[in-house]
Amino acid sequence: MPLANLWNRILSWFRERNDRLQLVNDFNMAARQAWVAGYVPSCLKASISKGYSEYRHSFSRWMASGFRICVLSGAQLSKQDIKYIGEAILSNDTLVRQLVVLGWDTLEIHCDVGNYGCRWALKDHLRLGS
Amino acid sequence: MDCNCFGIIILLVAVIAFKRTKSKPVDNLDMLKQQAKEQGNVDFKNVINSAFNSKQLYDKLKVKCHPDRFPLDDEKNAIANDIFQRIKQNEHNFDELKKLKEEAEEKLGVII
Repeated sequence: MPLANLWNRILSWFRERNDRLQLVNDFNMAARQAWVAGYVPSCLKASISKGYSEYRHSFSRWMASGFRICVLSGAQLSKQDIKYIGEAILSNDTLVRQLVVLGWDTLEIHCDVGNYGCRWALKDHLRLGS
Repeated sequence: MDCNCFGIIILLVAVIAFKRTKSKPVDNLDMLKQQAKEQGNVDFKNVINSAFNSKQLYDKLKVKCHPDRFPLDDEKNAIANDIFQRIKQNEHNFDELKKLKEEAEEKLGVII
């Protein structure tokens, strides 16, 4: 029984890992297509980062719990613009839930230029019961 | 050298065992996974569009559809009130804002 349990855990780990990579790839693909088609002025690039330990929740992954988005704009965006991009992402309930169940706890957004960015705790934007 | 490797392995096993002892609320996770599945796949195109384009559209819509612009016509005022509430709810949703724009143009006769 414990062996079967361990086997299930291993399978589950690989399945979740695959789902995480799939989500990141889907995001990057959509961002790339939108930028190439000219719908948006900057290209977004998602990646997995370490995350911020204070934002951990029950489903957080031990490591790599940050969903980092890099805005490839070629110039430093204002804090207001970065916040707006973050709010647009966090306002999508389905995406936030997907991120949480797949083990992410932190959303980070920064530009390719400059040295500051913003981060949010995903658990604060999880509207449960709605 | 072998002692060091053995020590590292013991440490790793201890850390993994410690992590395993922490019980996770699996029921809640399953519930959330179920909810996320029921809602379907994420519309990434809309998310990306909303991140850059919804602000301009929202700013235009909230000005053009404000109920105070229709003080004399009670019917239009009620429609504008309803549309305005939905605009505020969907501030970061570009697709919904586009639909509301069409609705406002049709029902309120405004040009946006």
